[in-house]
Amino acid sequence: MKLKLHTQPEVPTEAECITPAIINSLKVKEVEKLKIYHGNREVNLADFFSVSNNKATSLEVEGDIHQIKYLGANMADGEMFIEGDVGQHLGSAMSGGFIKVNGSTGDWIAPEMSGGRIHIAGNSGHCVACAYRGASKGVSGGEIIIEGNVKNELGHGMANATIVVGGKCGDFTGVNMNSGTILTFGEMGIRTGAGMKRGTIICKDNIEILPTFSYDCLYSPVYLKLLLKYLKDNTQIKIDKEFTEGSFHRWSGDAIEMNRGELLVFSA
Amino acid sequence: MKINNTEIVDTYAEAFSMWSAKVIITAENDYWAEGAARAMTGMATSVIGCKCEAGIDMKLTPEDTPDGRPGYSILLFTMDKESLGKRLIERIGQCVMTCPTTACFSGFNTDDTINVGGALRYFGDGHQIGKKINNERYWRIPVFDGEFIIQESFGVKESVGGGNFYILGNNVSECLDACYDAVKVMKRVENVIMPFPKGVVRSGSKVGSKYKALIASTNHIYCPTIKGVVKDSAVPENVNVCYEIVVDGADEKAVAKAMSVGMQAAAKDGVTQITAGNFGGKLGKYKFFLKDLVK
Repeated sequence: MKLKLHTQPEVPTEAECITPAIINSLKVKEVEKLKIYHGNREVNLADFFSVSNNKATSLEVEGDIHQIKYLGANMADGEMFIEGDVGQHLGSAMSGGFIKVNGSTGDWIAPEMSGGRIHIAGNSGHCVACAYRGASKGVSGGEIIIEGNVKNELGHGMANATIVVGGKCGDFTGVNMNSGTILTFGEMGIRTGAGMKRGTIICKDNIEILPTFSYDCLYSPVYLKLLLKYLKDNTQIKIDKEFTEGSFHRWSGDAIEMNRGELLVFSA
Repeated sequence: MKINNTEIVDTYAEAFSMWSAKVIITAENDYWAEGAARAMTGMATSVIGCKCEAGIDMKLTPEDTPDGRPGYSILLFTMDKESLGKRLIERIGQCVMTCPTTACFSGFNTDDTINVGGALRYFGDGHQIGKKINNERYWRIPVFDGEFIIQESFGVKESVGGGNFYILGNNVSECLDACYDAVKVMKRVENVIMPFPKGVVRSGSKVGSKYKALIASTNHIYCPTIKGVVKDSAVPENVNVCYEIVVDGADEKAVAKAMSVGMQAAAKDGVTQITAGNFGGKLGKYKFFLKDLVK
């Protein structure tokens, strides 16, 4: 099935029903009558999207939908391809399947994600894969690859997931992280890994290390070669040979928490 | 039937079902990868006395390995799935994890798996770290030169063990030349191993013995030195030497291909006859008819 935006919403719109499982199980007329929330008003999906059956097993969404939130919410399987920018809460509580965005996204991508894969070709906003305020744990699994830049609090309180950022990161990357992996290729903000319990943050940028981290050694992690080869085969992120074959400073922390996390900082 | 001047006996090789795993070993360079691969496949010629059969399947380029480093693929065979897990844990733990710079991955992508890295991780004494890439879990175990990386689960499958053919000739030198040529081409076939020294066995065995404690004994009918006293000797006139090449493979097709190229390479001057070992269908469910393989 294919959805194409024909009218730009005037206010943020919530469209939890736009998932492959829901859309692809219905006929075109039924899809057109699905309810979405334009602000606080319930409207038909057809008020903003034209719907066509392209006979594909995946779901395609096209247009500048940066005002439309919650695409792929609760997604458990299937594939969704989005051509254009998309709004907040993409892949909320997603447990499986694959979302590819050929564009950029808003803030709060993939809250409460537990599985599946999200691949964003452009940039993303604040609080990607971030725990909701008051929650101790954010995402609990899955894979998020962002080829561009992200803003603050990437992976706040994350557990078990893998997040890769091809560009810059804002402040507090991996703050209060429980476990999982964050790999970044661009410039980093301040206080990376603050309060992390376990998990791994790998940075190409020479970041400022918090005083509550202790230095271990300089080495070449084989695990990283494995991860980089996977990225090379599956993304457009430019990975230099010197990074693949280089050495990394390992720091353990954060000592104000369990001290079981690690920062791997590229030694240029 | 003859190839060149070598008679291909109208018989079949009898093979049996085994369980196998393919292990990918990588390291900083070929020197260390080969060291680990040879250590892991040491003393693994026959399940009769080694509890498993193992050998190097292929040398791998960095493009072929999961971490982009040089490596080797190894096949390891046992009689059942449970013992396959035990052997993998023992041999990877003692021969691969101990070898500088190595990492270890599963080479089979099968639904049937065995927990190997998930057991070896405890060597990390609480300092091990689990990581997931593309839905596969890996363990990072701290060691003296960094970390030993091992995949949590290894794919396993029912396979074929004991594919074989015998090379009979007039003298040791010519017979071994034929064996050398055969093993050389068989090694190019993927997913098979010839587990004996340099791929050749001179002490081919039969099932059972006159001594009750033994499960196997010399296959006396192919021993030239007792040809005169053994009533059922299978050693023909003018034959003074017999060698066996045993092939284990991930599947029937791989064993058949290896036997086919091996027999064709071995059929040369100095080789009187090529035949095969079977026990009338009592040993295993696979039959490889020699004539079908060299058509």
